[in-house]
Amino acid sequence: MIQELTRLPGVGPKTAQRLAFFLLAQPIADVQSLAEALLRARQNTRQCGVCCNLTEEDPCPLCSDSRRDRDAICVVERPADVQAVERTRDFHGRYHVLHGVISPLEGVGPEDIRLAELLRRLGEGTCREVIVATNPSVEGEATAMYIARLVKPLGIRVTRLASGLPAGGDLEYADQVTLSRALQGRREL
Amino acid sequence: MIGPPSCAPWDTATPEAKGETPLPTYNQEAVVLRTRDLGEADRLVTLFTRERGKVNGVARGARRAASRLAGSLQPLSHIRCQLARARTLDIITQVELIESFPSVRGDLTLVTYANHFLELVDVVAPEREAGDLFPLLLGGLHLLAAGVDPGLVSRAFELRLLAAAGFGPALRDCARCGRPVEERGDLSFSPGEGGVLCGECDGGALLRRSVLAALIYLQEADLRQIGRLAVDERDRGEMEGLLRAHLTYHLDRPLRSLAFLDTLRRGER
Repeated sequence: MIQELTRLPGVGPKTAQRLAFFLLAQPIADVQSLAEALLRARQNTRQCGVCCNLTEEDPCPLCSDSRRDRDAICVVERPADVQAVERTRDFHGRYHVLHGVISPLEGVGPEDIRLAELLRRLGEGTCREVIVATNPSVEGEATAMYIARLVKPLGIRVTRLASGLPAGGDLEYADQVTLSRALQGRREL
Repeated sequence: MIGPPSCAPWDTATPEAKGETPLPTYNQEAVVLRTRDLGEADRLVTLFTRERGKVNGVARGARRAASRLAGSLQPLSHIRCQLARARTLDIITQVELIESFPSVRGDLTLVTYANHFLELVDVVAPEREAGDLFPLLLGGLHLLAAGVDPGLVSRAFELRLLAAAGFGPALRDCARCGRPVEERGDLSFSPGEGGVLCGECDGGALLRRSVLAALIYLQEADLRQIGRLAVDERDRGEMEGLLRAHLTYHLDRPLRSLAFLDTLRRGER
């Protein structure tokens, strides 16, 4: 069991040992429900046929929710990013999960991420804006630019999340790149 | 002794004050070659330093949103940094950004060329050893940023990098017989033989004289002057093809950025 647990991200041999002893001390019913939950989640989770997010139902609840706008798609790198944007409660459109970013140095090309699926969705014609919410890293930016190249010719608006100072942050401690981006992206008061 | 526990956030005492020996630090000027996630919130950064060649360093907490290191430790950034020598991997403690090449980052084609440079340096640069590649890499990135024809910058960069790594193609003398190739029949180029072959030592792919002249210019001229070279599309394509063959033959690995460049070009057509 300790060996299996060490395979989890961020779990070293000592943590694995602690977790293992904790589990051994639990009532059998609790351990069983945990084991079943793990198994059920793994077996029933697949990618949504529309947005490629991880889901137990296909299409996923977000895609089948008729109250959500059909004219905006927010493109993110990973399923966890959908949760992050959802927490803001400011976006009411739909999502598309790429499951990665284009990274020439790592050998990840456009065909290795869910871009073809995005283009197919856009071909349906209901979407008027694609919001690219990939990370503000070199790979994330490259992916954003690549998406813009593909999508703009379709006559669809492509926007990119702004980047700048973190809320509640301190100007003095902001790094140069972030601060200069914040200056470039300043807005009228 | 009464005091806050040492892990508390208000513990700002220096290692000296706590009676620990501080880690020895050193400063380096570097270009960030690549980064990889490490552990929960750290990042492993491969730096190409002016004085010590390739150095791996850990940027602690660089994946957290509030990290002061993250912004400057992106691939391509030209930085000045302080590293602390640790047992296995050195720790990046401070970073000052010199140049982030925003005009290169903001253009998908240019950033791919820049990635190509980083990839090549990563392959040939030795670890912890100074070389003459650092000025070449910086020079190449600045030329891309200045809007000089990226194809020409790339060829000049490849030729010079190959030369620095000891794989530079022979261009003036025949790679097999060693005699000057001037006026000696139809020339050819063979990566395996190590460059140009004269008419009598035939073997490789046919090489036109205009292509050879352009290659010699790109290898020998001042890097700042290479944008002045006028080359037609055909010569340009041939130069790219034979240098790519030469790179793949001698570095013995696929060049990923060039493959991505091909993808971009297919998309443009």
